[in-house]
Amino acid sequence: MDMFLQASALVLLGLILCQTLEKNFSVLLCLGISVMILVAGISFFRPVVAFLEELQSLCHLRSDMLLILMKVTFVCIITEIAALLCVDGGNASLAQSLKLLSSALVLWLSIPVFRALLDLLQRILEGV
Amino acid sequence: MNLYHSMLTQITAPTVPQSGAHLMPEQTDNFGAGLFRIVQEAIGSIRPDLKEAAAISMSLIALMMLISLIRLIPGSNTKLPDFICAVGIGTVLLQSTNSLITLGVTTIQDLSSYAKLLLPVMTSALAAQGGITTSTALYAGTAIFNSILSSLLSKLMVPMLYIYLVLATAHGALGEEILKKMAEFIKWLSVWILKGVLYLFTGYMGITGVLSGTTDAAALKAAKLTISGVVPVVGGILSDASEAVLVGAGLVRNAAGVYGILAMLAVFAGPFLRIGCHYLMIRITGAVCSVFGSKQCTQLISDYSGAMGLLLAMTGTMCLLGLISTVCFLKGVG
Repeated sequence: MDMFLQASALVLLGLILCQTLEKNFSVLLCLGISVMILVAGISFFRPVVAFLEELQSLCHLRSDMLLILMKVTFVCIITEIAALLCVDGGNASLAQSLKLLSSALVLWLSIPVFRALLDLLQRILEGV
Repeated sequence: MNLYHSMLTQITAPTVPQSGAHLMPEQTDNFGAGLFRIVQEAIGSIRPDLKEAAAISMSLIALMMLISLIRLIPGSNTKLPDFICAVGIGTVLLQSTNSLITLGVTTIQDLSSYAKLLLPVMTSALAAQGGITTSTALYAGTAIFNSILSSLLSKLMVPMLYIYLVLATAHGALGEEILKKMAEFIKWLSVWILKGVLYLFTGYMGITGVLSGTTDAAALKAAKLTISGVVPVVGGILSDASEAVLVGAGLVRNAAGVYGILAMLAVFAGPFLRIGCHYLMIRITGAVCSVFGSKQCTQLISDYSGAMGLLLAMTGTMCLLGLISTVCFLKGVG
């Protein structure tokens, strides 16, 4: 809880500073604060990931499925933060290119899931 | 008369199939007691299935919880969790669904085979009681409907059930409405086919039984009047004796019919309760998961429970056909 309050205070301070600084420095400041908050957030994500692994063993889901989910979630979070920073810096086209790249990456990561779905549908149809 | 009695003693119901032998009561003279025994034994035998269904339910709840937690993370892609959820649900439910469908098909085949053995016995018993027209008409109709329904179920409706599961799983993964519509259509068509066959069958049995029974009753009355009128002195005694023989034939028919009904229920009860408990558990799981799961994935769980419901309807229809036909034979003449 303390960490969250400290992070919120840091974000507000950064917002005030960004109003006074030049555009280039404000983007760098935003980037720095975002990285710090993400690193701080890792300590909160660890128990969540451990609980997810516990649920995964309970529901007999393949371990690679959960790994794919976590990777895709991580890619999406990074892409969103980076894209918004690009927009803040006045480069919407860079943001769009990054989103395009992340979509391609998510599709590439999802290929095993598509294969698993096809295998499942084939197994169901084998009963016909 | 001795020849007639020896023929009557040979009219016995066929032995219960192996699949229902463990539930069949030893004494079949009391229908109520026999039915109670079958239900009691069947309920006692489904404990392993309850445990298996509970384990499946737990797996599904854990999976839905996992996906819900992932979806809570801001910025996470909403399509892929539903995709993985659908694959996970399909994987968890596929094995049990497959084995239950195989069990359902085996039960349908056992019921159909037993009905094919029982019907000639009931026909002979009813004919021996004087219901010649009735027995012929009932046997013809029941045999045809038995064959049609058995073929329909194993060759058309079971493949339709699998296609329904494929469409439901694909809709759960992709979220396309057209897949949902196609799955709903297949479900509607299956229910419509079952209802149609049952309505036609009960209509045929009702009309045939009434008309033929009336014909046979009139023929029997005419025969008794003829015997008592034409044969001098002992005509009345002969007419009463023939009445007694027909009553005896009726008792033999009733015994065979009661045994046949209990045998069919013994074959049907175990699988029905097994499929039923899986159906109920998946339904309850769907209701629990709807609290925190996505609409798409919860719908997929409901679709799998719907497939179990269809399977229950198919096996129930086959059993009902056999029971109705046996009861029509037991109704007898008049």
